[in-house]
Amino acid sequence: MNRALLLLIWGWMVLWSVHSGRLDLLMNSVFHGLVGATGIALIVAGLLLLRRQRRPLERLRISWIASTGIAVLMVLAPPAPSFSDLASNRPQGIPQAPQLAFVLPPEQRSLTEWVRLLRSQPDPELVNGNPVNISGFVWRQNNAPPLIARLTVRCCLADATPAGLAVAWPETSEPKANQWLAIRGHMAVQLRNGNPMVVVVPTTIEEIERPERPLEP
Amino acid sequence: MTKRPQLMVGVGIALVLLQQQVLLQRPPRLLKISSQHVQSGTAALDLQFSRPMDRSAIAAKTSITPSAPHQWFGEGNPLRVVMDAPSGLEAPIKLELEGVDRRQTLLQRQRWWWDPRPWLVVTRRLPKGEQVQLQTREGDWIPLSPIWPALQSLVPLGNGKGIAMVSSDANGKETIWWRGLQTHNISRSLEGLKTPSPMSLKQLRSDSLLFGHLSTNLNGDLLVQSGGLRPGSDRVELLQAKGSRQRLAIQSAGPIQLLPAGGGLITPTYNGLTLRPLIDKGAPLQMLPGSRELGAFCGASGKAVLVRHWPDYRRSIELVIPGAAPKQLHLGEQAVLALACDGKGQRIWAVLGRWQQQRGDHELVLINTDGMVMQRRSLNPWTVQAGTPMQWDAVGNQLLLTLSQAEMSDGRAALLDADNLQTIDSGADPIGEAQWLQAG
Repeated sequence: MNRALLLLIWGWMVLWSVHSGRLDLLMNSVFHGLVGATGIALIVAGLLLLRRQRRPLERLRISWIASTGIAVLMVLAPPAPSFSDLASNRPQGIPQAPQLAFVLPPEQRSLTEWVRLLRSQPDPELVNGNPVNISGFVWRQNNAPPLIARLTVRCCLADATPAGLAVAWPETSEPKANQWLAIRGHMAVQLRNGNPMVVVVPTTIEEIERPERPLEP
Repeated sequence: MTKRPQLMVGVGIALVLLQQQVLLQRPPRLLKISSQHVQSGTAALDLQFSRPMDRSAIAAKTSITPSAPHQWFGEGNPLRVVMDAPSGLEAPIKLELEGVDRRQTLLQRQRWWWDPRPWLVVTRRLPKGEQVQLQTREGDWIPLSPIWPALQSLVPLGNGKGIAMVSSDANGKETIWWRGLQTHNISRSLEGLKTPSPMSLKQLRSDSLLFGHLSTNLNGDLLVQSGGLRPGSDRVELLQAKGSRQRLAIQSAGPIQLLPAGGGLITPTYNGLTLRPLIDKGAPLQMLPGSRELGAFCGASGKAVLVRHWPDYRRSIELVIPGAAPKQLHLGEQAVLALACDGKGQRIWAVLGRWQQQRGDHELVLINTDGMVMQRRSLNPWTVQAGTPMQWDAVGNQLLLTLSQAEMSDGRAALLDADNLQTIDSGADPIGEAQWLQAG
């Protein structure tokens, strides 16, 4: 009986995570269907077990209580990950684009598409003056100005890889780590540490809510 | 655990440690060196290493002869060296590659020779028909095609690794051909730099065609637009440089052009030009309305030069910068016969024509991005051969034109300095059309 209830609670928790969009913080959206199917499977297993086991309540085990507590906590305490800290602790090798990195026109390129483009075509003059319309979180750097960044995932947060762009922050702006910003502007070539590099020169910076799907494929 | 499994585990651990130490001590290696055509300078090379390199050490220790301004880009692996010699490069480059990887392990010093200068390819009329020929560095001509009754079109692939051609027979039926070229413009020795070697000739469409239009990009992809006698036989195909071939479901009111940097194309429609990605991700298409035609792309910068036809028969030259409205550089009554643009979209060359006293009077102008004419010269007594392009060579900073005179039945390949527009070489051999083939 207890075992069946535990399966039902976890199945409901998994389904609720898919439905509420919490899974978007953890996993690439292509796998959400699979997770949803797992939730349904857990509920079906719980119901079958409930139907078979008509005997009185089993003795409660500590592990079951702990498991139930974790499931309830997951529902009650919404995750608030620090993408900036995560990005700082992840390798920089952004995965290849699932599709062609050149998407036209430039103002329709997402931040990760820009990063992929600049890694495949590192000649900064090729994009000098191109319009930019991107959004991302502020990625704090040690001894360097913060970047505007996104996390890319193949599967889930465990393989998250940051993709960041340098920004010529206006003197009046004070970007805070993990703040989500929408930036419009253009690309420019600036010398940083003696090397020419592409920098986003903003014309407008707008603070935005964290998007529903903050992780990009 | 008995002794034997213990021994096996021990040997395994020892092997792993040994392999780790061998790999740690092994010097980095250069895996691949190749020309890169999607670049903003004079010429560029991509270098692929066995592990991430210290870019600043590579840049500091590698020598390039003859000395020319250049920069190293990339985040360790691969690295790209972009030459930026405003006056052009006139000879092969010697690259003495040296440096360290990120663990400061020394890369074995190695010497490479690189000739980024393009090759001149022409169509030439012969007694039995027409043929495509390539000029060697010594000035000799080698055939790249059989002799066909007529050649309708010649397109050297943007990566320099082949040419595509449209021939026609006596009945006007067209056939599309592709010939790969084995390039030898990067070598360990100076003697290894050789003229490209033609490979086998392939027919791209076997049925008889009414028309065939070709377009290429700097990656070497080829777009083939063709149509036959049967209704519904129109076809648009993309032949990618890596070998794949796919049909594209695109309707167009005229010749489609691939974008130089890859990934997109420009299709003329009945009310303007449409810019679209090759892979449709559902993003809205970018449309430029009006009676406009594409004049030239500005390398891989994303900029292009257009010709706009006005209802009062005037023509304007416009510079298109991504994300901005077209910028008018010139407006006049002269015909715009040919256009070229440099890789950064900062210098635009135009051949303007006016009909005077029973003959064409052609003028070459150099315009900057503000529409100011920086240089101009009359081409008299020469005129640009109808339907032939003007092409800018970034390596030599020179313009290539096919010019002819009133009494000539053929043209001449003329080279002009891209800054002062003075003639470098007016070409002695009769030709139909001249184009650059990039060093592959």
